[in-house]
Amino acid sequence: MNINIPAKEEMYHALEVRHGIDFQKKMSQASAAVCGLGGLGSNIAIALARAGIGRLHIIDFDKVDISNLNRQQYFTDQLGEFKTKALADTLIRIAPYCEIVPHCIKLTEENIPELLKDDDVICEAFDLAEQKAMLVNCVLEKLTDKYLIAASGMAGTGSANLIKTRQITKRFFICGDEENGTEEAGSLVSARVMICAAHEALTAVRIITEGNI
Amino acid sequence: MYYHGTAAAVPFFCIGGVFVVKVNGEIIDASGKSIAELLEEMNFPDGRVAVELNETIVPRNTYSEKFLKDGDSVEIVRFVGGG
Repeated sequence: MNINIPAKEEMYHALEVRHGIDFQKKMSQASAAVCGLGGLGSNIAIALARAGIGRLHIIDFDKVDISNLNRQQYFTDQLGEFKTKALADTLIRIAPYCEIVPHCIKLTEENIPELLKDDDVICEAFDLAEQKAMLVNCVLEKLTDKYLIAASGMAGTGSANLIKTRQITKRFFICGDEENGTEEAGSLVSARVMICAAHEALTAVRIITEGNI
Repeated sequence: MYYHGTAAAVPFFCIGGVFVVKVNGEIIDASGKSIAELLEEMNFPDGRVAVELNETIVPRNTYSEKFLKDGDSVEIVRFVGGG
């Protein structure tokens, strides 16, 4: 492995050339939380790390399982590792100067307000519908100054064009087809989950670079 | 009961004399119902939704106490599994 990691200034300059000076300044000052590091969360985190986000708060309590490899950004040599550690190892290789804050914990009604208080944008990336609703309601009720991006409906092999981003209020966005859950459509296929994750990541980038956070 | 002026000035929430609210962009006759009743009638599963009333989140523990008024706008986000 190449241990000659480019200098911070060199990497930052490369991002400025790609994205623009103003864009990169806003990205480097922003903090996003990714709640759940499965098919959605692992892809969202990688997209945001590549976009040069300053701080990435990654949260999950689970370990990498063989059943995750069909759509989640982990490798066979990471089976059994905590997802927070496995993903942090990957993110550091992409963005060595990004401040990565891993939290190996289960988010609950009780700990959400404290754990997510320092993040500008919160990405919901859970698997279970009840958990998604819990996080969304909790953030909207208790962390009213945050931007929240959630996902609903990316299962099955329906058209990619059905997956969209819908703005519900000034600070709340929902990504997905809003219909096809694992109960309705069964399978979770990498390409379709990645599309939904990309919607969430791009919405975060748009909020950070075009909004007023 | 209510006076909405001339026909030309009648807002969306009074159609044919029936007072209505907007739910997920659709105009329906749900005035006077609670959020809990609305969710049950529309078959939204318990514990898998977030409800915004006029751009403000409705706390989950107030679904039974929050009653819809004419002209209200409701957005119900339904969550399905997968991630």
